[in-house]
Amino acid sequence: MHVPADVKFLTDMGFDLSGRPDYNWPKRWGFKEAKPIQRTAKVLPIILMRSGYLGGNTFTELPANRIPYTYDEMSLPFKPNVEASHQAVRIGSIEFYFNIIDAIRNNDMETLNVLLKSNGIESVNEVDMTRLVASYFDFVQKAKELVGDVDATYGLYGVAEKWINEQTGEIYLNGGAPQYTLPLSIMQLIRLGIYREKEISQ
Amino acid sequence: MLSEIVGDASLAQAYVDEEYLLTQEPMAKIDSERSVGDNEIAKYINKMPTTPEEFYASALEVGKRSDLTVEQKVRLLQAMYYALGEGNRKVCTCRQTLSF
Repeated sequence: MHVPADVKFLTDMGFDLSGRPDYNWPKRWGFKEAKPIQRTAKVLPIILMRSGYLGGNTFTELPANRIPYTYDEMSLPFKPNVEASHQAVRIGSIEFYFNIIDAIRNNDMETLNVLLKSNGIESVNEVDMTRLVASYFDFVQKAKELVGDVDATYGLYGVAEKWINEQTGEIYLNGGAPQYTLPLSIMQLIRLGIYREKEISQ
Repeated sequence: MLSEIVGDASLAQAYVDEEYLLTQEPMAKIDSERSVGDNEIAKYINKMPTTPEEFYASALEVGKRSDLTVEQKVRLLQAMYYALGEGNRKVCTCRQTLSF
């Protein structure tokens, strides 16, 4: 769980109608520069790390030679909470990921289930498929709205943008951590056998 | 666990030591300020949540209240969060099911 680190991270309204904090997120979906994940740019991390629940689709990676990225580096406007941290290890090949995405965007349940079966993963039914296709195209639409003209077919990557007060220029958070936003949530990536959640001892 | 991440036990210990030194003074300051602020803001809620489930429900109610300023709501959420205590701030199981 997370709470705002400071009121300065919220919009003037502060909270939306459902009662959730309404954050004034940096532009471009929080990327300094959003680049497309492509078959020729195979950048999915071996170990992903997300501070927040696994239903989200934005995350960073666990670095190999230093401590995990801080909230300041990830440009996260929350009170730091180690208990909210999740990690997942990639168990599917990169090709498997691209093929899964292709099957979903083509609304091809038969091919998707062949892929899943070949990797020993439980198949999906029509209801599952409808949800996967819907979340995929929601992502593509949102990428177009927030990032603009970028090929988001397989997701986006880059580094986290600074969080700046646009009126004063004051830097609230420095950003700079690697950042990935995929068409599927981490829960979906786990369910489809691309990642496996890694237990973290606190 | 940290040594598992950084792959070097002495390096991991150096990180831990540095983190410890860096956080002691600020944390003491935060704690002293927090206790005063929390008591003052806590009067705006009938009962502090004691579980993640209660926290999520209460947090949404706080966010919808029209008798509090945005700043008061943020301070109240922070007080609720601190009142939960360490070990009790994981994601609510209600939001953490493996499904599509």
